[in-house]
Amino acid sequence: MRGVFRARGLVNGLGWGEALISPSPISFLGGVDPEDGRIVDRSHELFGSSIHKKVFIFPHSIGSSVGAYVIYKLKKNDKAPSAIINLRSDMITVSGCAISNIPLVDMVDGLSLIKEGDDLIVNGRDGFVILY
Amino acid sequence: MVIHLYLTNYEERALNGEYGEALEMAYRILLSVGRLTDASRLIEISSAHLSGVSYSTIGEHGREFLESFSLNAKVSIPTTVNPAGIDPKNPSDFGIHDDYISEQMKIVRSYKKLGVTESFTCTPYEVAHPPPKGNHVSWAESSASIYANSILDLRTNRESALSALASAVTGKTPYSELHIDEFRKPSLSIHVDIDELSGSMKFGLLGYFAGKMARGPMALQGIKSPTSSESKALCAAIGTSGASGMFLIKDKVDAERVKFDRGDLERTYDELNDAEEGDAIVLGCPHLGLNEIYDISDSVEGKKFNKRCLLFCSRRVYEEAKLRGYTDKIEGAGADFICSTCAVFTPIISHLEVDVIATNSCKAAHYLKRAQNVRVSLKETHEILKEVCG
Repeated sequence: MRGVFRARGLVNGLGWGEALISPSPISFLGGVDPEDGRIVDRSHELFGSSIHKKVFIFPHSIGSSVGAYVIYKLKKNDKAPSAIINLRSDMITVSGCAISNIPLVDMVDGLSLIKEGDDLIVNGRDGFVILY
Repeated sequence: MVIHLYLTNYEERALNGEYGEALEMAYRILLSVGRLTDASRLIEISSAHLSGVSYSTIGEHGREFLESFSLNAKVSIPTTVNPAGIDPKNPSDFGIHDDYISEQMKIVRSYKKLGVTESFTCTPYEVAHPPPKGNHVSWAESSASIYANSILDLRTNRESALSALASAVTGKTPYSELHIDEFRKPSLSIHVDIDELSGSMKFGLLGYFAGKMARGPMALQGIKSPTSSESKALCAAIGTSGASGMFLIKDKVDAERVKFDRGDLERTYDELNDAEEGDAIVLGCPHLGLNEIYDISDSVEGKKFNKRCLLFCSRRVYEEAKLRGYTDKIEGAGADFICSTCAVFTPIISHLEVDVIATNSCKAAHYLKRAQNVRVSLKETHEILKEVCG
């Protein structure tokens, strides 16, 4: 399926890649290894998966606000996702993406139509997601 | 509905990098946070207070970000900063590991480079004159932002380290939430059904209970006007247990009512207290003010502490208390002052190698248990002093 989905643009920029979908929230501090971009929280569904170059979809961040700096470190190490989509975003994800130049949107109309592995383009400035 | 955040021409140009990387990043943070909180524009503010100073809280990644950001950035308005993990003036005290000292001092240097006031305190309102009532500010450190909204009649959201930093550099903040009159109305009223609630620990217990109940602004009914010490404890505890950013002390409020009675007080106490007696005493969360140091000096003068006692305050308040002769009396009784350092997020606590800390602070009790793996004996200051300095 193809389509354009409206969203709320939060952090400007254009990012594209395959969708990686996390049903549960994520704690960047302790949950993601900033050296290799893998999810290292053993209790998380996506344990072992890499978020590098993905369009990473998760409900929102939990845990320490230091998570924002982990997002920054992921970017510095070139292991960051190419864009992030949240159900309803939060201060940690927003500030982490803002200092790392990672496009971010939330409140996507029809998010449930997007499946794991779909090719997506995220426009963080104008607030939309393209599935192609 | 998506609200459009309007930027001026100047703000657009800054966002596009025309005035350098630091302003570009600062405006990107404000724009993003503004969109998240449904702001319609940015407004000017008169001061900023930054969290994210202790190496124990921001770690190596935070240190690395600040080193890079401070290369080309300067604050544009009066800006105070939170306590560090050790006293930047006496980093070698307490035998803290060299690596920790080195990392902490890099963070301190980054903030100096940014041009902040080197306050290193969670009570900025006690070291510098706060702006006049009604002013918009951008304060991080939840206890300080709740104090700003509720006691000083300033307007701030509960900012994060990064949003407050962006505000310090730009002099602006998103016009949203607690900056706007209609969002400052209490949505919940806590009715205190206890005769003459007094003491900073008990006000802390009220705050810890209230913070869990309220998401937004709240009214507190049935209490006397708190002293400055009680106010600090109340604000700190509200900030610890929940997301609310302000309270009003007001008896007639049109909002949902929740009762706080003696049973609630005791249940909240039992949740935070898990030991009879402390092996060491920690006071100063939030940092002690001049009046609190005076009260301590008055009750310990000529006596001796029989346990290790650490008192946390800002250097500015310490100097003032020293001039007035308060600190000599306290140090003479065997207690130690630690300036510019957070009472909780510091390696000094684990260096004490004790199992139980006695404190009057609900905020400290909450975080000491989680971050320092110690048990906590929670009591009013005068009760603690009576036990250990008789």
